[in-house]
Amino acid sequence: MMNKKGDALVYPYDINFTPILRHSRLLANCTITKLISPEGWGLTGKDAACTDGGSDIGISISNSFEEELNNCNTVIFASSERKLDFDGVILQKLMLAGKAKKKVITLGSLNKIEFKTVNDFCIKNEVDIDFYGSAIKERISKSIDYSEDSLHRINTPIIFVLGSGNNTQKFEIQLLLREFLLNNGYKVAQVGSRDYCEFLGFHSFPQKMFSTRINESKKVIFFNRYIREIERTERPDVIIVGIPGGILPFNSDFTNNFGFPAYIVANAIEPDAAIFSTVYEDWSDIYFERLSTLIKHKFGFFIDAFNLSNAQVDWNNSRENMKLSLNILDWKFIEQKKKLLSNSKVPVFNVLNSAKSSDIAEYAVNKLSEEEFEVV
Amino acid sequence: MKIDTPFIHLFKTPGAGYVYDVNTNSIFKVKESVFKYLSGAANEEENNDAENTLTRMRKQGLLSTKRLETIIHPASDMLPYYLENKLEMLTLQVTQNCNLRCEYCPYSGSYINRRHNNKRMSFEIAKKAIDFYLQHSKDNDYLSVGFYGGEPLLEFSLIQKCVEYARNKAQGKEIKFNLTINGTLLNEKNVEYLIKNDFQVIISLDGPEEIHNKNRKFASDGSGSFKTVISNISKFNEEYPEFFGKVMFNAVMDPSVDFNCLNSFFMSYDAVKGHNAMFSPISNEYLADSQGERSESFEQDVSYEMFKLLLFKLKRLSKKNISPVVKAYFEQVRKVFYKERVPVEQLPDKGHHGGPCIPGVMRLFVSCDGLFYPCEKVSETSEMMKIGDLDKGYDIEKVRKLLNIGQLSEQQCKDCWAFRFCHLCAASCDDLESLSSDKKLSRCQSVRDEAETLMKEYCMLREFGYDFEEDAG
Repeated sequence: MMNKKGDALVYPYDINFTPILRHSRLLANCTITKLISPEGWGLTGKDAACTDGGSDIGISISNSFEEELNNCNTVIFASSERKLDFDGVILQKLMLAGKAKKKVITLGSLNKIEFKTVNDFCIKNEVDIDFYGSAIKERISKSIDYSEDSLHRINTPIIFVLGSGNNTQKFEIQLLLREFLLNNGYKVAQVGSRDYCEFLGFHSFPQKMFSTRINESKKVIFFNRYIREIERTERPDVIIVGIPGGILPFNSDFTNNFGFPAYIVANAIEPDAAIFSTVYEDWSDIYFERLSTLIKHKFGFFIDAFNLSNAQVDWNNSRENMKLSLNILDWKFIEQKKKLLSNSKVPVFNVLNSAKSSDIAEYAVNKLSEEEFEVV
Repeated sequence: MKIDTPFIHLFKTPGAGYVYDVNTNSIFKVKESVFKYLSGAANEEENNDAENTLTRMRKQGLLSTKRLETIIHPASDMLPYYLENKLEMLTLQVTQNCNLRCEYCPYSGSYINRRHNNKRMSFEIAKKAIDFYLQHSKDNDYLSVGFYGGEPLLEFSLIQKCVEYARNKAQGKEIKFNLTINGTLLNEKNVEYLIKNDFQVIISLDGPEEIHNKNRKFASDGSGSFKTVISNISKFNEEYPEFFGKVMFNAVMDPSVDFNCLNSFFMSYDAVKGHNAMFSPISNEYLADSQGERSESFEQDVSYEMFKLLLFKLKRLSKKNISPVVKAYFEQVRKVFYKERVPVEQLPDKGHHGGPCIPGVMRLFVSCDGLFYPCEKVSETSEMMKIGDLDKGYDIEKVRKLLNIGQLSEQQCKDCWAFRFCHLCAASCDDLESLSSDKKLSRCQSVRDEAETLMKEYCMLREFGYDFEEDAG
């Protein structure tokens, strides 16, 4: 693990890293100062916020990796939405960083060969490297005994963060909640929806939940025991669980894994508060009402707060390329639309409005405190 | 249709009567009494027979009278964001010159458009256009740059420079290049270059010699270009079969020619058969004079081939009998009425008819001078179609107008059952200085006729048990 704070360069920077940038105070050991993206991504010269459509961040994106390497002591290889060729691009830049004696951090998934290549290079060249993502084995998962079929009770309040699908600001909300709760003196345990959350000081969603070797019932038991183990060892005041993916198919072409991860988690543990982040469309209040009802019937809990994300599905592009394609709209546009939803029975927020981004966290925490009597 | 009547369209195939329910975007086969009731032609006995069915249909949310309240394209609100981030394809007009003078070319003088001339795009303008594209395509995973003319191969060295520049700038994204050419200027050097850079090439080829040469003639002496084109195609097909296997042909169908001759050429001529081909009619947008003669048998021959295609789909005819010319027709039926027609609960309050792309987003056509147009099909002399330039960027208000052509015919569109299947775009309304509602409305009936024909084909195929999930090839 890192043992000194340093100026860090992020490559390749894109929308996936932006939530981390917005909550970089959660990073104990580095300060992000440089953001590099390939020139073809159309981000060069723009503010870092151009990726997620949120309020400006104040760091400009560059395309000159080698030049900026001189201005940092840590290089973070991010897990980007758009994948770059490993051998031709990532490895070359990693080697440059290693030879320049920079500390290296990898967040992206590496297969066995890629991991070995990088690891061998780093050992040979004495490069200080921290691996995250699927390259590391989860410590807790291995110790979980899920042979019995019963569920354990979780006594610590749990907040769920779920959404319509990927890239709908779920991770932004998870980090926002974490930062808010930590700043207010709470002890937070967290399981995030990405596979490199250890970089931010909490647990990643366990890989076992995607394994084809365990049936769905066992996954329910496993996840229940997993959360119980976190509760037992960390003794938190609150547990945040970010659920990867979406809760429902969009249609017959884009099935979103049929919402299985959410269904398994909802059977394993019960939330005390739940936040749902929806893709953008010109929704009316009725949509949120129906969505609440659907989630209650399908998963067994109510949604306490909605986030209207700025990610809109581009159906033409998606159908043409058979891959879900999103339009990323501006936060101010969402703010205008959100105002029209003020009559929604469940409040609707816009987390990208930096002036009000913590409102959703405050609301969720107040929800947890609302109980007039405490179950013991 | 009156506003208090169900918003539906009634039609019949030889086998049954159908209701297209506009609100739910659903098609229902109905019994005769219901059909007659809805068309106002039922007698008392038929009325009584239809009552129960109609009650059940209404309970399921069908037969609603709701129309759109406001005609506005759903992308209007978000136009700035689309224009800033979603530019899908860039087309560079590298030259306005051509070594052919095709009779039906928009630049031949028969159309209200510029004429062929020596203007060419400078590399400076090309670079600026490529930079603009990269800056405005952040939310797209792929880049696509096309080269157009005139005849783009007249500017082969400019194309080479553009490709190199674009590749360097586009690092981190896959970039594809495409080219539409007349086929007369292919040589070893440019073919090898096109192969090396994995170009998607479209070659204009109208049919066998007599048909091709009727319209596609050399500028120098007015002679037909067929022999040169076919010689190049045959030669390079043999030398580079893998690359040429992916070449697409574009045939403009002159309705005065012998369709069977044209059809037989694309089915059996060695260098051409088996290739993907697009067949399009001679454009009637911006025509200076009325269209030329039409052969009596042309339409009948086309219809006959469509009929054979449907028989093939129903497994009554072998694939080898099927004309490539009409292949796209079935795909249209499948795409529009099976794949993309998604049932909904009801019409929204606001909407717009199908047809317009988002100008300057789906593609951006940049002229030699650096002016922006929505595509190569519009007239470059039209003030309405200039949607910006490289210096000032997009003219958002112009783009918004071209997007919202439904507002030219608001009342008619609100009452039109076929509005989802409309394909009219701004080019259909352009009278160069303004967008004309009269011009637009003059096209509406043919849009409805086409939509109904496709709908009937879809229903008839279902009657015969065709399985649209099956890819019959």
